[in-house]
Amino acid sequence: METKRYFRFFTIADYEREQKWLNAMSRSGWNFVRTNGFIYTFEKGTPGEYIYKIDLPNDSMTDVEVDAYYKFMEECGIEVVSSFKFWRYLRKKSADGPFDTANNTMGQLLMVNKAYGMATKMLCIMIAIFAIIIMALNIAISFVNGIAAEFMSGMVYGIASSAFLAMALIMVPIIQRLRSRMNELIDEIQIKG
Amino acid sequence: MGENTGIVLTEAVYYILLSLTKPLHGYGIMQKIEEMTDGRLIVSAGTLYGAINTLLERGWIVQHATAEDSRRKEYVITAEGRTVVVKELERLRELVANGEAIL
Repeated sequence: METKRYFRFFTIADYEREQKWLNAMSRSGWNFVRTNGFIYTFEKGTPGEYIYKIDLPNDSMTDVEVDAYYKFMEECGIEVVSSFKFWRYLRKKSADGPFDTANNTMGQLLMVNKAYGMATKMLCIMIAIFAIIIMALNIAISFVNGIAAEFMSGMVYGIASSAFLAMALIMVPIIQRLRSRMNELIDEIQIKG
Repeated sequence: MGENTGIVLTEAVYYILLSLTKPLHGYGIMQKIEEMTDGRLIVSAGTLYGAINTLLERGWIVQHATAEDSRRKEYVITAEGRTVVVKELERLRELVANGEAIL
């Protein structure tokens, strides 16, 4: 099987763009098969045979519910081709018709809401990890004395806090973008119902 | 019953309930809706999955005692579900009547 690999990175807020790219690749005869978040592998196939959709399970679902959800998808002719973290890459034969009505605002809103939930959850986890590191550091400092220990703890503190700052600088704009997309769709839904 | 008055159904839920006057499994519901609306409305599997769970919780549909194909769960509308659709139909009639009277 002839394959092609691409190196790409999409943030949580870019799944619509990512989905468009996968569908464009499919139209030119390259079927997406898997990703590890950076490397996307495609297999040569018939142009336009499949359509792709990126999905997230609802974060309130248990593992059993998530399994039932994707089993139901499979019963509807939808294949889960690949998964990366919480993301699921779905595809179906384009001959069987689209995933849903074009410009389904409610569907888009539900999806943004799930992505927003995931992004905020990630930020919360990052804050928790940072708090634990600082706490552990403070406890460690209380047991040791001396310039070397102070230097070491200062260094760990510096690294931890700059890593945290970098992550926050990346995550906050992503969350803001998802939030504004959500508001856009909510405005639309007031009219479209 | 009183709690059901004034419920405005989404288009998807309205058609899901309508298509379940005969027992159907999930994919069957999707196809039935597409057929009834001539392909205008395509309910996504995700929406359908969520809607089925909510409708089961509300008791508007139930799982049908499956006959031949036991791998797939089938669903059917309840008397309560039927009442809801009839109410919705009355509301829709009012919408149409008002629109036609004025335009």
